[in-house]
Amino acid sequence: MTTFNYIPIDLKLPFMTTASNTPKLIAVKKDASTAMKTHYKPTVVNPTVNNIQQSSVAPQPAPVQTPVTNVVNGAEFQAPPAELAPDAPIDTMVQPFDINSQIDVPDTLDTNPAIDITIPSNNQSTNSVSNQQEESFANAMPSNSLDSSTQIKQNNVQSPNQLSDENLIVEIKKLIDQSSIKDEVIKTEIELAIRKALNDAKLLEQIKYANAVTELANATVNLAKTNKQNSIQNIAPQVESLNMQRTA
Amino acid sequence: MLDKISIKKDDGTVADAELITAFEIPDFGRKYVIYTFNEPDPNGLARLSVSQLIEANGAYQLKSIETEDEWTRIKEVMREIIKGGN
Repeated sequence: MTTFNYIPIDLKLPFMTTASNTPKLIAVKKDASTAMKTHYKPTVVNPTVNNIQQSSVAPQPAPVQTPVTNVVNGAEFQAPPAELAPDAPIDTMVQPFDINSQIDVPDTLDTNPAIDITIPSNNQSTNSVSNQQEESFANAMPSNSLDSSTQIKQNNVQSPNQLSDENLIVEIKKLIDQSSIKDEVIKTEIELAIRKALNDAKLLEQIKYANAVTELANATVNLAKTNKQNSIQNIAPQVESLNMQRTA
Repeated sequence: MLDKISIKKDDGTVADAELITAFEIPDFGRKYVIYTFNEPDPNGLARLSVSQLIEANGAYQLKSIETEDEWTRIKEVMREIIKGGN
């Protein structure tokens, strides 16, 4: 456990980046982000209060510094994955993290990061989802990076009887909630792993579909060539006969 | 944006960000700030930026996290904060 102390931030002071500043990026559940704000309660200079005091007609006993509570609908939250493996490579994509205490972090801003997850096989959870063997999705792509031609297949994959991805995840989350897993971090990581796996499955389907379309196109071209050759061969005797008649 | 901070970049551009939290780790003798530009995320996650914070000459300077050990410890702190620690 790392000891830390909250520090106040003077919102009036400017923030300047240095040439060497490349902020670490980390993706967390929005509820986790909200929780961090909620728990942050140092004394923070609030410039709004200062402005009110300066413009007030009557003297006000208001303090110059006002604590900012940062309460944002402090509802329950799901914790994010915890820590990045020390030897994990730094990339623009989120790296795999250990389900026990891993967060994966890109070191540069990525406009479309994927979530890469590693689930260790020694997880003792009783939930069937989390009992999978270790899986790594280090090089996976988000499904929305595919072009429109392959995207068609994705729309055709689901039959009416199949659950949509979101519904599937909702159902799985219910199962997880009913399981003995209490750690919100693990729950979150399981959900992320499922989302990633679904994306990978879609990608595979789309690749298969693209290959099938290519094969079909090749077969069509070959058929056209064959038909053309057959036509030439069929016409050739007639042409020769005509030539002979003309010569005679 | 409840706690807006303006971050001036090297190229002179200014970006508005939302302050999430700030803390110091005594072991390192350093301060850190976590903020977000509230960019949309396809997975519905919140993308946070974490920088080292140095106050000097009436301004805050943001610097990179220097070592993986430091980053690992910061993430430990983040977990503690989320769980309601400290």
